[in-house]
Amino acid sequence: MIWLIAKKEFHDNWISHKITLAFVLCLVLMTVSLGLAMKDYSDRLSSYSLSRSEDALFLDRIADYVYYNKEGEHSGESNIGDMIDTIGIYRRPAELSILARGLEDRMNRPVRFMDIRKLGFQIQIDPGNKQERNKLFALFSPLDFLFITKVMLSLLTILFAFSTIAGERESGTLKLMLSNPVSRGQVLLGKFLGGYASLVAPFLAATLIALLLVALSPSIALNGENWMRITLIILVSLVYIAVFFFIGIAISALARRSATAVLLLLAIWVVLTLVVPNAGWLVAKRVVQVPSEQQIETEQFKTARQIEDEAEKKRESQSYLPAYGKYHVEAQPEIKKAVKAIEEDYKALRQKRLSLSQILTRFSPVGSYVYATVGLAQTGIEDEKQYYTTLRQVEIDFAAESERLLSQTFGDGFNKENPPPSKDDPYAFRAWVVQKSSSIYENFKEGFSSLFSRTFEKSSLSETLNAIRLDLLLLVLWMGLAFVFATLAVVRCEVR
Amino acid sequence: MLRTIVEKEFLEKILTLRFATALILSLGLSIISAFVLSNDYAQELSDYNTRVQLHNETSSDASIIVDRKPLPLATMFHGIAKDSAAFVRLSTDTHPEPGETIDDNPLSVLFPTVDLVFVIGIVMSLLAILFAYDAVSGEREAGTLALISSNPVKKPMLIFGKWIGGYLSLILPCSVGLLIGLAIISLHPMIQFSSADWGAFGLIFLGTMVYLSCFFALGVLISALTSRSSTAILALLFLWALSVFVIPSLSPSVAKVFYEIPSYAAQARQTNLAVIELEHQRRREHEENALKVLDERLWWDEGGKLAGEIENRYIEAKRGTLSKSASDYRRKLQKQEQIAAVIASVSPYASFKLFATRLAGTDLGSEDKFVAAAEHFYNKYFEGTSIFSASGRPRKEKLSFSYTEPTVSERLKSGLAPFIILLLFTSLFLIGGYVIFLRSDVK
Repeated sequence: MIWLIAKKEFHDNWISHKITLAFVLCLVLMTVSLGLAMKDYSDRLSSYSLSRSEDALFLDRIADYVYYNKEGEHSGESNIGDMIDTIGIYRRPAELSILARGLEDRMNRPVRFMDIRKLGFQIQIDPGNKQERNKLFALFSPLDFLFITKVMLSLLTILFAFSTIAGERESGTLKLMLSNPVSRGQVLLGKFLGGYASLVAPFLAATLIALLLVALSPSIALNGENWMRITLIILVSLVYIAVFFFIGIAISALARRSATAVLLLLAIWVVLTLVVPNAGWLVAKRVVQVPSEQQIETEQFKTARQIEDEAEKKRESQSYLPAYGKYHVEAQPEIKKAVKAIEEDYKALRQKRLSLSQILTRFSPVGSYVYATVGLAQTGIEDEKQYYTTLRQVEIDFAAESERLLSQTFGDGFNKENPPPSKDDPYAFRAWVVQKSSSIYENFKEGFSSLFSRTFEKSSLSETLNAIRLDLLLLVLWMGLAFVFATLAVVRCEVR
Repeated sequence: MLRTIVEKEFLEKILTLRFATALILSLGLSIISAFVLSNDYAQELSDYNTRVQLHNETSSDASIIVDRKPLPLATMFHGIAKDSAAFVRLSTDTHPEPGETIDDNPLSVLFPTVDLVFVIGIVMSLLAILFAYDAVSGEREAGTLALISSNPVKKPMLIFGKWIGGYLSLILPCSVGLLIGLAIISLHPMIQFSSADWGAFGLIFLGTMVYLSCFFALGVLISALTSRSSTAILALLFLWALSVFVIPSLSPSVAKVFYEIPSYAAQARQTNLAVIELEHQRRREHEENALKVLDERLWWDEGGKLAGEIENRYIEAKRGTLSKSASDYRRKLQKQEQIAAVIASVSPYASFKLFATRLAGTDLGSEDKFVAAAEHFYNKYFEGTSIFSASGRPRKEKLSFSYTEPTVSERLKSGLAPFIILLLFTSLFLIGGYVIFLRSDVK
């Protein structure tokens, strides 16, 4: 009997062109989205390769600066406070970012390479530069698979489900159906199976066609693990659709008219898709107060200045940095420690706030769906954390390496093996300076090139599954809850 | 007779749960977003004040940072505000660098915050569709359309009544929601609306009414075309998705086809190579200078002066190269953005968004105006200082920077085109609906 009802439901949907319309809608959206995403991906990939090749150029340029970092021995001392440039230490674009953009754009931070007087080279992560992107993307956000499913598919599900019970009630066929020896539970299951199939079939067909285009495209190469992840994303999406379908059936049964049902469902959709996720973040912001980046920078600056001023009392310094003030070399370690402590506190608070907001956003199936999908696409929160950890490690290694190189070259090492000639012979002295410079340069080049070729590891499939297991569980739970809701509604609803 | 029909349509919609839900939805969303947005603005304003203070303390005659004050309208209609420059770094040794405030929260990317453009452009247009989809087909299915037509009522009268009555019942909850939201925002202690802001908001409100009528008219048109309401609603969803998602996201790519520009990485590489050439040149000159000092046994300060000149030349050249390449690229991007905006305005949603953001001052060109003003100030501020005469000590006489956003009439001028497009679409759908209804069957 369930099977009969399901077949009838599917047939109805087919006759009224719902399935065809859904297929066309999904096909247009999927192909447009994946087509654009692939083009964007190949652009990003070539930018990535280009920036990797910049490294060699960059290392050459160190020579010019090192040459002039002569501590006063050379008359052509440059303005050492110069920031050389911004180089890109980039993460290879995640292939599945074509399906779920996620936090991908935040994992492409250019890095500033600074040479602070007498401190040697340091890198500082420049978190901001958005000048590269066409601002149009800010106005019209890109359309990825995640967005299509999250917004369009859930809306489509509502539109398939809202008239399942209410529509039949209005046209009088519901009581006809129930006058047969069929239980309400059977009606529910039959309608669900038929309706769900008539939605999922066009969705899957459109998705598979679009994915075929991806597989055939030369601009992107997907390996076995990628396809595994894609399959999982599709499965997760099917569960997500089922949640909304059950909710749709429930409201359809409870509302008296189908026009009311659809509006109620829209309201529920707005709450689940917009209100709860946004509210989660906002409530967390209220509960865990975190100072803005601006305030942290100000606090760090003030602390540094305080320490500098105290050092000024002990020893008057002649060094002055623009936009900073007087500068004392001996105070730097203490400043570094204090600044780092402020940074650590800030990071801990941010983490606390993030955890709270993640918990709160999980009060909607949309939240869990987003986390699961971006996790599978390797553009999720855990992936961003991994990215930053690697970046910080690069920073530490960089600082350590440059300290080592500096002490090696400016220290006694070079001078012991190649004692400076007397300054009475200026030509010989200059030649010695030139030799020292190129030795410094060679050392730096060797030391830094290994740092530049650092690759960013991405999480493995098992790591991803481990990270998203809570969200997967929650989605299944949501489906169960929605099923119970639908059952209760159908069992108790009016048929006339 | 028309009045009766209008009343019937209006009351029919209002006295249902449908209307109540729409009202609650519209009110709920508007109120929540009003609170959220006004708090956002308060935070942004206090951040801005902190920044300005810090920048004032650390400004010198070698470098200064100028800030842009956030406007209340910008928080209501985001546009590109969150992605555009909040300040510009000006210093003698480099070209003006726009800088942005940092957003450290990953959830704002995963779950983008909702501004009024979103509420109106997406949610309210959905509401419009849901109010209109069964205007004709629903009555046809219920049999009441045949009943009405059996009365001495002309068809044009019927369709006019449906439009007016239905549209009124739609904009009632929408405008109540928006106005209450506006009231909440303006009552916030830290927010001050200038008369320009009120004027701009009024115009945007007008645009909203036209936008909603556009989708409503489309809904009635499709409703008259199809025989079953459930088909109508799906067709409408399809068209809605096309307008809200497909066309806008396609427009940058189509624009690229018409006007190709090199990628940022490629352009950066070109600039890099040019700067490297300058650095080699500088190194060569320093070498020659050093040898010259030795050969001619120049005094230390004379050699230093020559070295200083070399440095000056190098920095001027480098600054010129960097700023020229940045502004060249910026110009190319702008042209591409403009082409894409024109292509996108085929979609009513995109036209509405363009209209609203242009009036709110958060449109594509808004950042450029600010950066241009900063660059202008740069020339004034650093007039006559070279890198070596600039010491980094605080400047004696303070030149302060102030940026005034474009006036309402200027913004209206730029927003006129998308507004007219919206009017055109609405007229098109109204005429189409009229024609189709007149030719269609009442059964």
